[in-house]
Amino acid sequence: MKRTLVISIALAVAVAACAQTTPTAPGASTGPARGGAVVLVTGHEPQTLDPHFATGVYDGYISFMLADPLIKLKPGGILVPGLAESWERPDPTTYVLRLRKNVTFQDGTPFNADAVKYNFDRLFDPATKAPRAKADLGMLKEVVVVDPYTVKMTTTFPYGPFLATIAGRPLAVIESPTALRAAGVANYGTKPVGAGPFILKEWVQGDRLVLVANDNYWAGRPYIDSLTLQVVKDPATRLSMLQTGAAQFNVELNPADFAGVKQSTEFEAQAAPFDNTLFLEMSNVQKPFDDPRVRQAVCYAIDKQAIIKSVLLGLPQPGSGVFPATTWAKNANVEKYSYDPQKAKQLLTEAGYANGFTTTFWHPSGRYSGDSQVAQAVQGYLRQVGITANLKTGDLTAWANAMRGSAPDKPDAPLYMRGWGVSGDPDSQINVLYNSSNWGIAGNYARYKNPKVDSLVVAAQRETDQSARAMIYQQAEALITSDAPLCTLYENVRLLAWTKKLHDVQVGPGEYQFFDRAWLGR
Amino acid sequence: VRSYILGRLLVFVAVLFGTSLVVFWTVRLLPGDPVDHLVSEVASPEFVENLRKELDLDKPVAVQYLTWLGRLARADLGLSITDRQPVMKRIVERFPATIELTIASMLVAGLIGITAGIVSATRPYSVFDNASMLVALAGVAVPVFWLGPMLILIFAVQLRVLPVAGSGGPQFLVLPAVTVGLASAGLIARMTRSAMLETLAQDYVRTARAKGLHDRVVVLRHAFRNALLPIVTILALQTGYLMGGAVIAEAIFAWPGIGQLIVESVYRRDYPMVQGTLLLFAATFAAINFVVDTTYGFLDPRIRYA
Repeated sequence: MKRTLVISIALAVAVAACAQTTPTAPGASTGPARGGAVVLVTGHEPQTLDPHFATGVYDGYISFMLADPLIKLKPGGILVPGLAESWERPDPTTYVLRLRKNVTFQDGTPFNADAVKYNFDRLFDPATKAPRAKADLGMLKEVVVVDPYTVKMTTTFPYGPFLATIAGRPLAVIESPTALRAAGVANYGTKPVGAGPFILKEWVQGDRLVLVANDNYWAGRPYIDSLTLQVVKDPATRLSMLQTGAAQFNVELNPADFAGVKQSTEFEAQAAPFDNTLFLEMSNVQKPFDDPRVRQAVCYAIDKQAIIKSVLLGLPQPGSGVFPATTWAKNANVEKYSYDPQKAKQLLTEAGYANGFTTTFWHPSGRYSGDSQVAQAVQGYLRQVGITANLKTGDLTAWANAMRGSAPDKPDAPLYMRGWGVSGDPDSQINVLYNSSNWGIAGNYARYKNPKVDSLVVAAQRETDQSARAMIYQQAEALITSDAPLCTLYENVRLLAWTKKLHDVQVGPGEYQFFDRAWLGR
Repeated sequence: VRSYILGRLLVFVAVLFGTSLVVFWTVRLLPGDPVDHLVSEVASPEFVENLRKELDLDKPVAVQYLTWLGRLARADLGLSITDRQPVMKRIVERFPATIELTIASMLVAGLIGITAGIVSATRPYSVFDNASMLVALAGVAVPVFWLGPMLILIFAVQLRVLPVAGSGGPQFLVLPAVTVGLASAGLIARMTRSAMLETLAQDYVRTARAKGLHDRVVVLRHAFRNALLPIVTILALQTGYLMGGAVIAEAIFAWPGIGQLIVESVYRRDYPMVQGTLLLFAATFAAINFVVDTTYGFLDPRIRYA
């Protein structure tokens, strides 16, 4: 009885809190004004701000605010000048970049060709032990200083995605050589110095990271005075902070809160795709998934639309094929595997599994929004066509281990949920996931092998013309889709919310947001 | 007395040793290892192997344990696998905030609990007594993860008198301290009430009253001092509970204490960090119990340590 009373009081309070929408006068568009502090709330913080060690999303997120790359990547894969003013490609393996003059790092060190060379030399120095140097930029042969404001970069083979890679990868931003030398590899992660729009003022680990505007930023000082990233684990607390004005930008909104925030007059909410999809993968070397008909049956058996609507509140868009829909290489005409349980059963019968089979389905919990619930829904659909999928829930580490298997030729999970994205260039997706040279642990966890796909992927790396590359990728995507090592369920989204007083935040590419042109209205 | 303290000290060391064993082996029972979190989802097998070697993770677990124990004896908790900083340094950075929150919530718990208990005991079965004991029961029953967001909704979002979360001034401490302290306050109130009721019925209290002493002197000096023993015990035992509550409250209120560090470290399989922080929790709890055990004698001279 008393318990009921307590709960009903709580409900009343909660309802009152939700119902309260204090209408504010629509912000008069006065244009950008200088000043103001922006607090951004997230559930996570960077691990390191040494870009050569960046692995997590927030590492790159902050590194790109503190330091600029030579070429900037804009949403949609567009390349614009960064610290390099212009560039050319005299032959398929050579790039000549002309650097911006009169740029200084935040410690006063002048930016020039020597600084560029020093950064890449450090990245590839075996003593640095940069974890992703080889994976991301293994094709880079050397960086040569031509004159103080010209560098020549050569690759070991013609690599089409090269410029997109040095633009989109955090490890290719340029840091102050003076600061790199002074701090050393062990300590640079907490005291980075770049030539970017913001300067790191303070980092209290586990609490907050304070950035202030760089008055001498070459592209113009940011309008806002400071940007604070505050770590707030609890999603409800993050929302409350936004509602009370203690925060202006929430990077991780709870799906259940999305509709309410979107309706309010004070806040903007966006389900931002970030070139990333959620899909099921099947081990192509294990029975019964070694038969493409079984894999196709799995794809036909699942009603993506229904899952999106019921589990994910209709926020993401359904996905298809291999690439996210936002990628320029996307083949819009690949087989969509629309929900068709009859066809699924028929394919299973043809493959000799008329009575279905039992398998294990690995999925993470808390890695992707609603992942466990999606897995349960998938399990339900598979049961309807006779496939009994026993769910295995793993935390990040356990799940990653199962997907990867213990060795290249030792796969583990037969069926698993996975997410992946295109970062910079489509090559970063298709090559890692479905080129058989990345067999097993290196990224091709599905152990998928199609010699035609392999040669297309390599051809796309060597081709430099984007429209020619797009055609190659479209062929490859069609082939992979019909082989069905994966069933793409939907386009992952990041749920963002911010106060309408905050304008001109650049959302994307990828999971990044940029605040160098953002401003606060009254 | 000295042999008693020595005995307790031995127990203290034994508890720590036991904890070290349990903590060390249980974190390794979790599937996966720290290397998976250090490298991206795609890294070359040689790179992973080298890293594992560098972190000594390729050695037998028993050897790893002895190495760790050896360092521990020299008060060296090792390096965090995640950011290569000394575990001790990270703990020293983060622990004060947790202590601050624990002490603040203890003050809340003690002040509210003892006051309510004494007042209830002096007016047993009155409206105030019944009401405060009902609230106390509710306080014990309500979990921190529910109370916290509710207090935020009421005091920060609706009334806007206190900040939602974060740190930076005493006003930030109020909501988390009340959230954590309230549950213990309920327990302490009930304990205080029954202990007080018992002593208030004693002959010497009646004597004190018969002497014509002021009611306040009788209640506070004569009765309360003698009821203190069980209250102190429960307060001390609650410290562990409060620290546990603080860990949850830290996540709700974005309080930069050690709790969030522990949770993150478990996810990342940062073995040295998990071992170091959990051992510290155990040591703190054991130390408080040790202090309580030895202070009984001062609070009540009738207790002798044979």
